[in-house]
Amino acid sequence: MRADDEHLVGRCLQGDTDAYGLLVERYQGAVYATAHYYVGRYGSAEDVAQEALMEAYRSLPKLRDATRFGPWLKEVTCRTAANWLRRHGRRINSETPLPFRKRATIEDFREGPATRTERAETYERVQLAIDSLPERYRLPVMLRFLQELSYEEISAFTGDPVDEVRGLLQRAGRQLRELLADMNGESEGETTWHRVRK
Amino acid sequence: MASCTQIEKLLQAYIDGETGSAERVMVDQHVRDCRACHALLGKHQRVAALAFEAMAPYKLGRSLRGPVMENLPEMDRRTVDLAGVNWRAKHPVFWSSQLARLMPVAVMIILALAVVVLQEKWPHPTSTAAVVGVVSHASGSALQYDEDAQARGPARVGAFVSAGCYFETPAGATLMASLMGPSYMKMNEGTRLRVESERRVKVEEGEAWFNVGCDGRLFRVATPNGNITVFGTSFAVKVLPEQTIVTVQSGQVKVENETSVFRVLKAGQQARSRAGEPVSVPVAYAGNDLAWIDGIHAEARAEHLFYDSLMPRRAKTAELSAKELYWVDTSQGGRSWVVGAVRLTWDAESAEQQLISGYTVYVYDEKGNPLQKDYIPASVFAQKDTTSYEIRIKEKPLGGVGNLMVELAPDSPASKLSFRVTASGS
Repeated sequence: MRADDEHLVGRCLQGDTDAYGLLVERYQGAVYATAHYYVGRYGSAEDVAQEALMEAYRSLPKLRDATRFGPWLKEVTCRTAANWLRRHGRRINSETPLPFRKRATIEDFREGPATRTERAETYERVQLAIDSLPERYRLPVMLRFLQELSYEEISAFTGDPVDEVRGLLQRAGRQLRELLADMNGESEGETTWHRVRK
Repeated sequence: MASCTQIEKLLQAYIDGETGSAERVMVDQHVRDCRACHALLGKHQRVAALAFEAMAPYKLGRSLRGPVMENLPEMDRRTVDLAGVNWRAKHPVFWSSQLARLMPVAVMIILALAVVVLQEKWPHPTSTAAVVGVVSHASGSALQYDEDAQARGPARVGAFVSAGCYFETPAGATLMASLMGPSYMKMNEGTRLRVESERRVKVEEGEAWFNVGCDGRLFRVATPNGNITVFGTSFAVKVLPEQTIVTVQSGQVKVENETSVFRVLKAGQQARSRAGEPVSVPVAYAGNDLAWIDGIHAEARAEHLFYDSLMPRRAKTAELSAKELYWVDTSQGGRSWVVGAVRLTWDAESAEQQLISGYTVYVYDEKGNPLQKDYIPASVFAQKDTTSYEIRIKEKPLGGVGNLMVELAPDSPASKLSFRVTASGS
């Protein structure tokens, strides 16, 4: 897969925009998840992801090692998100950061306000739990749970070996299990008993 | 069978479908038999499902390919340091850190200023002047000091001799120095002299001996009572309050003072020069006044220093003699006539092109006996319409003796002017 990245990057540099289209398809999920991790609460993940992909194309000649396109794209995305936050710092500081701010869909309307609020609360809990994880677990967790990327895709994007991604997600999964265990009708039984014993 | 801890470590990968088939079988087997792990797996699955479900509405709903490809910018082919851009993004610059970044520059500027101030204030060390030699022997309380007599201190063997420095040997002290040339200089006790350059020494009082290397240039010794000009010889100079005694060991030495009469001394001769009087006629000398010279020897380490570090700095090719010799035929046309003057003519054009120094002119008869000395100042050459200069021979006008010898010695060896020398009647 990475060797293929190298090939596609080479074609892009020769002016083949279709090759970049393939790279966009391959990495758009990861880029979007990263953008969501930074600016999702302001509802701008998609804009930032697009901006990052365009910026990456613009500065593609600066990529030194074509086999590491993924990690480089991650850097570009993080930088784009950071720039976005700086640019909009004044506005978002005066707004309430709403974790559940998103575009309303027809399903939202059908479900009615009650279900919608409940769902938003769940999302908020999960997001809070993710935010309370150690920093280096967060991005892989977002990539995994938001875009459902495979371990190999995560590894290609973050630059960590697959085994390390697996270890990270395992430890993150255990912590999430402990943090979120009492939700979703999980309050009875063992967990409660454990807590009492503690 | 695998332990519960091992199984617990595989749960996330098992749920994500990222285990190998062997691991999958192992987990399957274990959870079938172990109730605790079964419950744990269930819980893990529910939490994972919860997370997936909560995130699902935020999942990227459409492909970004279309919008990105529609608005694809121009590729920036200038190579800019991405690492630098990253670094700056991560480390925003505050005014305080910007100021701190200027600190090294400020420190350098302050240090440079300090050096300049120190240079200005500090007494100039003698070493900054041109080094022309090395002290190769010093005994007793011989002294070395510079113009201002500030760095006055004992002369040490191996110390550099710079142009303009003074040497003084009080009673009981002697000193020897090697000067570039190479020339050697020995000072008897009670002597004070100034090394003006590698080929110019001023003896103020006392007794000094010189051995001048022959490299085509003149060596001059100035004394209060007359000057000595040599061209590769060894001789001793004794300066007394009212007269200067010159004794020649080898070669030829020319002794002159302000009067127009000068003398040429040969090996073994001695002459006296008094202020206001012509130089005395040279007489053979066989006395023992020069015995002190043999008692002073150069020390080996100073000689090494001189030959290793100083002599190589000298220009490889010795300058050709700046002194020129002309023969003047006084019996032109087979008719002898009385010579009253010597006329020097030069090319006005070449005199204009270069800076000509003053010339000292010596006139000898054909046997080499000195007749007349004169000096042509540099201002004469600077005048555009003047291309000749006449020297009247006052001493004794010659009639038909044969030839005259005229010697020209410029003040600066850089002066290279060719003359035509003719004799003219009175």
